[in-house]
This record gives sequence, C-alpha cells and structure tokens, in this order.
Amino acid sequence: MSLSFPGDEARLLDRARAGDADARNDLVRRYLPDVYRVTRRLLNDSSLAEDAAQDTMMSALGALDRFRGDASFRTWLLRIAVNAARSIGRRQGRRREVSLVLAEHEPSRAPDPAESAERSTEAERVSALLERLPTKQRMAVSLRIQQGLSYAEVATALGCTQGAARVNYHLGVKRLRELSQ
Amino acid sequence: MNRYDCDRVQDLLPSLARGELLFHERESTQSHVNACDACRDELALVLLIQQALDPVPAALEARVLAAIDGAHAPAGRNSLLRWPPARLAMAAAVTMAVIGGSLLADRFGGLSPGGQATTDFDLAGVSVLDWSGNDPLLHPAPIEELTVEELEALLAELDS
Repeated sequence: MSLSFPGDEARLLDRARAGDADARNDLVRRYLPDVYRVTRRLLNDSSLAEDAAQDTMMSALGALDRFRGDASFRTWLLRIAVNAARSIGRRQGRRREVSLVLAEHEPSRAPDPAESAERSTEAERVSALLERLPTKQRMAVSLRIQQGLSYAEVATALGCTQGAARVNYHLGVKRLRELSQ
Repeated sequence: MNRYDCDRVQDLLPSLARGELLFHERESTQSHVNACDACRDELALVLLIQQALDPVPAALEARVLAAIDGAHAPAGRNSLLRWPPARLAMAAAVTMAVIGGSLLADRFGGLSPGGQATTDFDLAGVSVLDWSGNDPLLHPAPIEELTVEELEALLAELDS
C-alpha cells in the first residue's frame, strides 16, 4: 500500500506538473508497485504487466494536467493501469484479458502445474487461486483487499458501478473459499 | 447472528485486516468475527489474500524511470538522431561552411563589434566579410556551441 498525506501528495503533484524531475521520480517510486500489481493481476503475465505498468506511468505523468482530483491520484492512476493492461491484453490477442465485460463469466486459465509447484506457501496458493477467478471478480478482490480501495474506488478503477464492484467482490471471495476447500 | 450482520461485517473485513477501522467500528466487527465461524473463515481468507501480493521485479523501477527521463528530455536533445539522412547531410554541409568561415575569420581578422557586416580588409581584390550576429546562417557563436534548435533554424533558413 502507498502511504501518503494528501497535502504531501498535492505538493508532489504540483512540482511534477511544473516539470520537476525529482517529483516525477518520487511519484514513480511511490505508486509503481501498486500499478504493477494491478497490471500483473489483470494480465497474469509478468512481462506484459511490466509493459503495462510503464505505459501507465508514462501516460499519467504526461497527462497530470488532466487529473482534476475527483478521485484520489492513486485511484486515477489505477484506472489508467486497468486501461493500459486491457489495451496490451487486446494487442496480445489474449481473449481472457481483452475485456472485463466479455470476461465476466469466463474463468481464467488453470495454473500451470510447474508454476503451481513453486507456490509452496499458503499465500502463494491463494494467489494462484485468485488467478482462476473471472477477471471482474479477481480485480474487485485484488483492488479491495490488496490495494485497500473502497467499493467506490474499485468502481472508479474498473469503470463500473459501486454495486457491481461490491457484487463482484463478494462473488470472488465466495468462489475463492470454494476453490480453497 | 443474522445475515445482515454478516454482510455488514464482511464488507468491513478488508479494512479490519488493514487496520483502517475506527476504534468503535473495530471493536464491534472484531466481536462479531469472534462469535461467527463464517466471518472468521472469511477474515482468514482476506488476510491470506492480503499477503499474496505479487513481488515487483527489481529492475522495473529503473526501467520506468529511464523511459520517463527519456520522454521528458528537452525537445532538441535527441532530435538529431531522428533526422532523415538527407537533412543530416544538409546539416553537415552547413556545419562545414560555418567552420570554414570561422577559420577564415580567425585567419584574416576578428569580428567587428556591433555585428555589422563590414569589410575588414581587401586581399588581392577579394573582400572578406566578417560574421554578422543578425543572420541565422552566420551565427556568431562557435559551431560547437550551437544548439540543435539553432542548427534547425539554419536548416529552415536553407529550406526557404
């Protein structure tokens, strides 16, 4: 989770908007881990997730003037991350990541056996199970629990209603409980 | 324990796991969890999911910072590399002309103050003009001090 105080963040954003390279770099260091985890969770592919994370940071920093502060900067950034991952997923022709809408009822691939063998701890096992959830459920669970977003923020990041974010979260957790038994 | 309580508590479990609840909210949620098997199981799952963060590749930050640094570099810094070969050849010709003129000026006399084009001397009937600061093609700065923007201005002048 990225910890910051609103005033501190606002000053950092002002400096970055004014062209301060140190401020831009601070924003990258502060938010890149969250951005990467979201793109990784959405794409299920480390290499593509890195590309999407880079696209996200470059797009966001190039469009800071367009950040109006309606949502928190982090939520705005994660929204861009979701878009970047979806765009890369489309380009890769990976149908399961192409569209959150299309993928709503489509389960993700089963984990590769060799990959699963390496996931020895319980948390890693849960992470592997998470990858088997339909995309919307997986993202709602990940954004809510791993990124600490509220339902309203999850809805903003995913471009859906708050009710849909809540439903997908609970369906995802329920499905995870079933898978883990 | 009714379903409404469980729904409300399960909505709060991620916040409880992250330590983000206010005192009274935390107390009531924790109290419910202690007495409810379903919510206790779900809290255990939430805690596991919270721990299951993907590791961030070590080199990613450096890669992104380098990309951003490149994208925000001053406009002209790398623009020469993007010039087509014909344009580069023209730039080379201009550069040679400027250097050649500079050497002649050094050989036969200095620049006149005020930047006016003047005839400093006659050499066997050949007038040698010095450099004028008013003409972008004849910039008074030494060639090695010309910026890419200035070179581009020279080329624009040639194009016209």
